[in-house]
Amino acid sequence: MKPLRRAWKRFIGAFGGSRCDAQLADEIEAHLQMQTEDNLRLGMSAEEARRAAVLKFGGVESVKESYRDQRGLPLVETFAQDVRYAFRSMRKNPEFAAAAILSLALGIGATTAIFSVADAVLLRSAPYRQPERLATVSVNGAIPAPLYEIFRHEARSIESAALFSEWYFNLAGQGEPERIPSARVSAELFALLGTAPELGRTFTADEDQRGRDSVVLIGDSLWKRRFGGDPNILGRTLLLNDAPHTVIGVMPPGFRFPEGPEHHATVGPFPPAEMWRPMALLDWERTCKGCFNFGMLIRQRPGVSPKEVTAELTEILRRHLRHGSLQDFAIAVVNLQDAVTGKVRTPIRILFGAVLMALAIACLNVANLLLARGLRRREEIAIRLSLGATRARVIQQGFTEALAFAVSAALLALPIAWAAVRGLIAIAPPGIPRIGTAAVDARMFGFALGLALLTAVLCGIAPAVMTARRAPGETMKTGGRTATAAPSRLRAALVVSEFALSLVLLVGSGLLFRSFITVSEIPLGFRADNVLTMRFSLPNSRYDDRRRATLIDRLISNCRALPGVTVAAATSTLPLTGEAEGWGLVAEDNPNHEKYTMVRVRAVTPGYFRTLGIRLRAGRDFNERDRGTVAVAIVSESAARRLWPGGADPLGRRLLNNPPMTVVGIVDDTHASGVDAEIRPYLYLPFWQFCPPDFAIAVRSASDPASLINAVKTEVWRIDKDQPVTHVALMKRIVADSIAPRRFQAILMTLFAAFALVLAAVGIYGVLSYAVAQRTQEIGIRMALGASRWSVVATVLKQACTLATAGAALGLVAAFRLAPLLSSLLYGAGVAEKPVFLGCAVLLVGVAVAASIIPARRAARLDPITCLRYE
Amino acid sequence: MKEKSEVWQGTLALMVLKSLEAMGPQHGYGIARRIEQISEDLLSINQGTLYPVLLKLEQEGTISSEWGVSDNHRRAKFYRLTKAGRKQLESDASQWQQTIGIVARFLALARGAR
Repeated sequence: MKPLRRAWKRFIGAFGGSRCDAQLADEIEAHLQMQTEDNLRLGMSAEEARRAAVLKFGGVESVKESYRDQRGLPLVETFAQDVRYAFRSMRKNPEFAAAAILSLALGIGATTAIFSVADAVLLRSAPYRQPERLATVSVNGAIPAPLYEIFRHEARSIESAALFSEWYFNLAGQGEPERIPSARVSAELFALLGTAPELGRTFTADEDQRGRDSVVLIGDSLWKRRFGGDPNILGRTLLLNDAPHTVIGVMPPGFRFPEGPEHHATVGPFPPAEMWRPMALLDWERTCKGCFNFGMLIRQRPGVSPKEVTAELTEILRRHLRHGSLQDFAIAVVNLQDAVTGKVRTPIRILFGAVLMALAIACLNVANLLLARGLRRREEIAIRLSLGATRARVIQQGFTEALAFAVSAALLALPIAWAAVRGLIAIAPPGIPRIGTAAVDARMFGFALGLALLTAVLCGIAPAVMTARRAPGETMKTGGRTATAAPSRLRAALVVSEFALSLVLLVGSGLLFRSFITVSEIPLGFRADNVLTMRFSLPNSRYDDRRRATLIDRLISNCRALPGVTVAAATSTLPLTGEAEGWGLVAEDNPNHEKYTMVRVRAVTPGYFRTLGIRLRAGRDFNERDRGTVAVAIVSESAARRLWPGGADPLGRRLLNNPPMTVVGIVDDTHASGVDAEIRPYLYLPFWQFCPPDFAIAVRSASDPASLINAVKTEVWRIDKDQPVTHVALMKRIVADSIAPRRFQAILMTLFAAFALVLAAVGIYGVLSYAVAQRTQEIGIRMALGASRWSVVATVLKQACTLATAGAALGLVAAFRLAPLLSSLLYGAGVAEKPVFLGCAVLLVGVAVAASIIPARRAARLDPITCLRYE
Repeated sequence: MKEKSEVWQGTLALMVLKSLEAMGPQHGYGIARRIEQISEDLLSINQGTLYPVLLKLEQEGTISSEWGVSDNHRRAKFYRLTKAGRKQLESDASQWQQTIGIVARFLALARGAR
């Protein structure tokens, strides 16, 4: 009972503060005066009486101290006191505090941001049932419907399968027409994924038939954005691509199948779909064996690996193959999660590794700074110990100060992390799935904060512990001047590790930049300058192929008539905006006659090659004569080589399609599927022969092409004012976007490396300044004995170079080991770029020397006389 | 006993309680004087050490305090024994008697054995 009561009183007492102190002072004063009066009565002089009273009382301050300790809760009070002390000492030494707090905050903030993005993109799994059993199947990047049927029915490793492809809906009525990224999917898809609709139902098998397929599912985001989340949406009729469609269901938030860059190589990156319609294959689609237009999703039987599925499908394909050999078909079975995130996984992991290194450097740096400060304070600590402070008390103070640092850093790191996540989302290159859903991750913030805290605490109490272990007198005897070997060695080791890690980051950024430059210098095969492009569609619901081709011709000739336009053309797909459709063709006079050759097909109007600056190597461009009954084609150089491997002249030879096409020209290859991707063979056809409803317009101008945007749009809308114009972009921009991931990776890595370099510089500066300060006397003696200023400077520089070189050497070893991890992100010589390694090492040592100039000059300017007097 | 005995806190607390019982309400200086007089200056304490003890006793509720005026018209803090304090004193005193008795007998025995 009593201890409890006492604890309560003490708790209350902890808040009494100054009032209680004043009362105690009064009480003591009264005591002293009474004693003094008694002493006077004994005949002492006034002065003597007071002195004797004080003596008898004992140490007034120590009484107050122990009284205070008992009154409240000393731990809490001294903690508050230590916190105040910590912040006061931060204010007294703002550069130090800023360096320590900022480096920690940046380290924590950046790590949290990168992890948050990685978590959104890579780790959070898709909302599907047993996603590990889901996989996409493709043959040469896509799959034709007949092959899909064969696989589906014959493969025992496949539990169920569904077909999907990209689709666009033009949503008209109520407000502006909007082009909605959508998907055509088999009715089985939803059961296969295991996703139920939020409202309504999914497609029936019956609705998967032509004629009964005018039903749609809409995504949650579209439902809320366009229909205000109306619960009566079911049964509503929407005008989509000019035809009425009934809404039968709403998919839950987060359902965005198909998405991601590698789902379906033929069509290219999918924007996340917001509407779904039944597949309802057309008759020709159902039977076309060469139409590699679809994506295939499967659910593997339990316990089956993608490898086993691949093996089985290969065997099935072998049985069914009539033409060509198995080597011409690359079967890929890719786990769905991998398919969505495959391309971005490595870069994100590498960036995460890099940012962890940056965090480690930040921690090392803070360790270094705190140790340096602690060492400078050893004398102070020794004095306090000898004045009666307990060791625990001194260590507690170091701990509190470290805590103050870490907490300040954390408070600063939170907005940094938040801004960095926003920034990453904003500058991320296109094609990173789900990045928009990234938000600051509390777990990671906690982890980074914990690491910072640990560092700060270890380094904060280390000097106190080291000093407290020795007898106080010893430290004071040396006047804190003599460097004790252990902490100096520790700090040197910290600096060397900082430099080593920095070098690894520097090399990473150097290699990425080297690759970026190499890639941006690759000749594209076309000229991107001064070209304006946009996409447009003339849907099947309104136009037949013939009518569409005529309108496209009219549109192009109108565009050419615009002032400032040099030449204009239309094409089914532009380079670098996703893969074109693939066709398997048999060439006339090909030595192995039976063989199908895969080519990409692109419809173009006459003048396309001039507009994009693609060189005609032989033959001629399309022209008016090709409107006739003879089907014609132009092949790219690599297509010519593949179709006629014997070296026969393709000009005038035919491709045995239905109808057969005569080759009239050969053009240069272009990097159409990606600046750094392999060159694919291309077949160009006039729109009169092949006229897909979606197409792009390209306009080359004499001056700034951006000024033509409105004029060209107006021309387009004169053809059909109800169709949305999308993807308005300069060709230059499209090229820049296609190498944006490399630029993004290089820039981020360079940011980390720069951060690391600055921290390393701060670290070595701190170590050298401390060393110079400690050796002031020694330097003075040496100078008095005739050492030149230069030799003093040389001593300091030598120390800097030793540390930096050791760090660089360690870093080079690590970099050589780690660089192969980067190789999938590199282009050209890649990891073998030895000059990058060397250059970075030289840069690092250079930075070390630069950072040591100030301490070196300080050493050189020392006056020997002052030094010798220096205490 | 070496010179003037050092006093440990428990003993001091007991002396404070006993003094208050004997003298009635008293200020710190009075208590200190009383302890010195009774111990006939054999026991010299730094008078200051009394105050933490007074605080502890007050927190435990065995004494209470209030500000008042001393004999020579000086403002001072007066301590008085509470009911709980009286009980505490009784039990502590008897415990002391017992301890002293045991120790005394033990010492006498030890001397005899030698």
